[in-house]
Amino acid sequence: MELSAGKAQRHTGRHNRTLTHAGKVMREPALVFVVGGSVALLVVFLFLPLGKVLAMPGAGDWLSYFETPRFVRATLNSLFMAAISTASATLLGFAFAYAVTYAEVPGSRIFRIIGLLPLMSPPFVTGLAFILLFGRRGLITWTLLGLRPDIYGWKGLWAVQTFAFFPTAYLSISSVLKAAGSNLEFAAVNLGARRWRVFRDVVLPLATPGIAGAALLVASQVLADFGNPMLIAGDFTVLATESYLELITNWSPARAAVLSAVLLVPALVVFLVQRSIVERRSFVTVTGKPIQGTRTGPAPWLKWGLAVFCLAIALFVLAIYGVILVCAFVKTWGADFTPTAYHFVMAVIHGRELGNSLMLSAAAAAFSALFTVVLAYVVQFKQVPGKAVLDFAAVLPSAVPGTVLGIGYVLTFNSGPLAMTGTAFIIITFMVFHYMAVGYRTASGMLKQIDRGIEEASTNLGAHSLRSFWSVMLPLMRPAFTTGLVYTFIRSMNSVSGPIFLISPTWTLASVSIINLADHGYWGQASSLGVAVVGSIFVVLGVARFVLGEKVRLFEI
Amino acid sequence: MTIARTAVSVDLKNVTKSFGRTRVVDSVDLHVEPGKLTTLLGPSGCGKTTTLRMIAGFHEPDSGEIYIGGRRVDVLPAYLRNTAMVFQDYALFPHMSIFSNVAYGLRIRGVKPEEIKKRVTEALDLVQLTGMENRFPAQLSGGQQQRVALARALVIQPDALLLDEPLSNLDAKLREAVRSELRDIQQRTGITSIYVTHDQEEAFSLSDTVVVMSEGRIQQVGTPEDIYYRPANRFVAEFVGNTNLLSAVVLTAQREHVVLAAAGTTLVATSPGRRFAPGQSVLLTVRPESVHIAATTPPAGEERRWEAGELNVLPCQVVKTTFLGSRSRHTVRLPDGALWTVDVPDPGTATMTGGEAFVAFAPERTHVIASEAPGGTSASAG
Repeated sequence: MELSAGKAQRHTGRHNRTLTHAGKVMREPALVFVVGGSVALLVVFLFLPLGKVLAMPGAGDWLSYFETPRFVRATLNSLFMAAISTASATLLGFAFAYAVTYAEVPGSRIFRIIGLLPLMSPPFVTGLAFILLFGRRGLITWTLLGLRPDIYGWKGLWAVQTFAFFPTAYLSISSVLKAAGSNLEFAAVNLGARRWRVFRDVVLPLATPGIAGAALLVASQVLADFGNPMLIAGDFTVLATESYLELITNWSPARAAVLSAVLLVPALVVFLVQRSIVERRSFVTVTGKPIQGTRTGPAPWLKWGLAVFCLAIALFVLAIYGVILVCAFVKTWGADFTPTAYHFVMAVIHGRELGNSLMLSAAAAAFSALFTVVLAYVVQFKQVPGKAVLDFAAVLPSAVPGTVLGIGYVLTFNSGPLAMTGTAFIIITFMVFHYMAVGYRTASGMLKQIDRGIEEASTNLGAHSLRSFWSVMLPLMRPAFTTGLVYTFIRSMNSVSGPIFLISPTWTLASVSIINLADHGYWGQASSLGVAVVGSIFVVLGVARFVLGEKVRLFEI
Repeated sequence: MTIARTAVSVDLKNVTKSFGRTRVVDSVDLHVEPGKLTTLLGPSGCGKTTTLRMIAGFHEPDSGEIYIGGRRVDVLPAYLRNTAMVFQDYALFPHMSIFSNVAYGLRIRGVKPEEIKKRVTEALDLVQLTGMENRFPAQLSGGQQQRVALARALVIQPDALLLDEPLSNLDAKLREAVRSELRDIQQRTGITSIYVTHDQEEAFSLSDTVVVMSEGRIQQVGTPEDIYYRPANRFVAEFVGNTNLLSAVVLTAQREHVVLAAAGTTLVATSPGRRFAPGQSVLLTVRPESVHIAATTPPAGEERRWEAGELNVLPCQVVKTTFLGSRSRHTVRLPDGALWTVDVPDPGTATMTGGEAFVAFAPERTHVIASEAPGGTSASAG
């Protein structure tokens, strides 16, 4: 009896649903268009290139990987470098974060800002500065000490990567340390724990998942980095540089694809582990009430020790920029320090690279910010099938090394119906899709905190979905939009690994040129462009902050 | 006030809605009178909010039809239904001033700016928020935000005003004040209103009609007095207020007059609208404050009926007495073992402390319901 009633019910239910589905489509054509468009874009510019990388090599190409010792060596080198650089950068980042966020050593406010500077400039600026300081014509090694050490190799790369990526660890860990202890610390003190025990028993265990997450973030960046290995690594080849060689020098797309696919494996593993850690980290925030009262800092001797440590790091970071700046405006670094504007005029004023970089990055930033905000809105607020897939697709690009995606773009868009290599468009799309994850995540996070009722209220008062999005949701998501805009701009300006495959004589980029110039020993011009890139990023950040009148929440990822 | 239009009715015909496998709203038929305030009352998860949201268009019914003013709306998108909702969390637009919040619906309707200004001012007057136009939601107290939400809803002259537990975020004192204001405004504007709450006091004080829901089904529709004194079934009797139950068997039933055998004696009850057959097992319900308790003498004010034998009287044992200020509450045991609660108003110092006594209750306060609750919940008399 009940069974048949249920059947009848199910039947009418299904009948009715098909009707309402059709009705829904009719009602919200804008939504259908947006969802369809987003899916199409993600398929063409993300999944198709990645698919090409995996599908293009034949069995023989895969076999060649195992038969070619230098491929295997590059793989092991990549993993080795990722492991040691992650360990050292995380340690350095932790110490720095502990000093400025937890212990609050004297000068913390300045140290905090200096610690973030490298995040806004290209990682290879660190590599360039290292060469200028410690290379064969290095300021310290040659000019001051008269030494000619060989920094090209794994040790040099290790040092550079440690410095290039410790800010990532610092930023990530300091946000964790800020939240980890809170009132629990006072509870521990109240129960009789001393400083060190409070830290060991309460703060550290709560911060551990966050620290692990930070380490994995560093690992993925080291794995993917292309510029520094290109500049410093010498014979120590890694997957990113080796696949570049295969594609550009040997023109062997299939073998380049194989190497990319191999690089994708650890990158994805790191990404998935990091994602699951971040998702499980919620207990930190559950108890993370704002801190009231004075924290139990470390002992005075440790505090002063840390202050000296921070000062050293800060001076070194400043030295990196200082060296680049000086090098840009002297005749011959290491030999003739007469001031000159020649390099700057040659590289920046006469060159098209900076203009191209600014233009393409700005275009990518604008489109990316809009796209991610819309996509996040659709995924979070709308009943669309396959939401989880869309969500994953939007954050996946952050896991894909630029080399892999860049090679995928070359394989996909070099010929056939989608041929567009050599155009500005392909560089822009690469930037949009490679750097969309942060904007998307920020927008998503914001939307999770926006009461659904707000949009419903708008609908209820008579606004159709486009109108609601425009007049209610978009204004509310403005901070996320700004974040996506600025982040994509900065990353695009600094991007080398992907664009190096996509540039053409008409469309060269400053970042790629810096690597090429440095590779050929044009230190002055490389530095000039570096100064121009870093300078324009700071100018844009300043303008964004001034024009948009809000703090760009760039580094609360 | 230009807010009122011709009030229209809201009708639900056999509306069903499931989320996954759970049937949240089950074959609901409902007629909401034009211009009246109807409350959907029930525990959380009973389907009241889902029903309201289906009327607004935020959920689509799996089956059934919804009409507003005779026009079928379940096929229309939410933004074309002209229902205005007041949300539990107010859902004010945080980036807009109070004026812009209230004006939003009018702007969408393309109303001329000077007309918007006039109507927004009127609406803010109505909710006593004159002069707040340029503030932002975050600068207002909870009660003020609630009133802005109400003004924003009223100003569009909705066909139906939908209120989703609008008072639940206010503290107790404010809630009472806003409640009576709300009732006042609804009566002045005469907009057909549907109000969702789990708070019976709120429901009773506001409503023309109360609809009690449980497990997706409507249990009873009636005036607040109907619901309270003449519950349709055990669920309603127990959900609304405290009640005393007693198993009984019908001896005779003539129209509204039912004679019952219970606890070793005969009792008289009324049962408007429902028919019972002699021999049928039923439950009898009486509210605690409708029961008098007396040791030997007749209860005050009921001497005549006590003498005439027109009251139902049962012997009892006083188990416990608790002084509650405005009343004292006695727990008594009836001959068949059932425990009843008896509230005595204005107790003074003359509280009963234990021992043998009588409970007396008037037939018109004694109500008969089926001993099986619909939905199969077993009803062993308590």
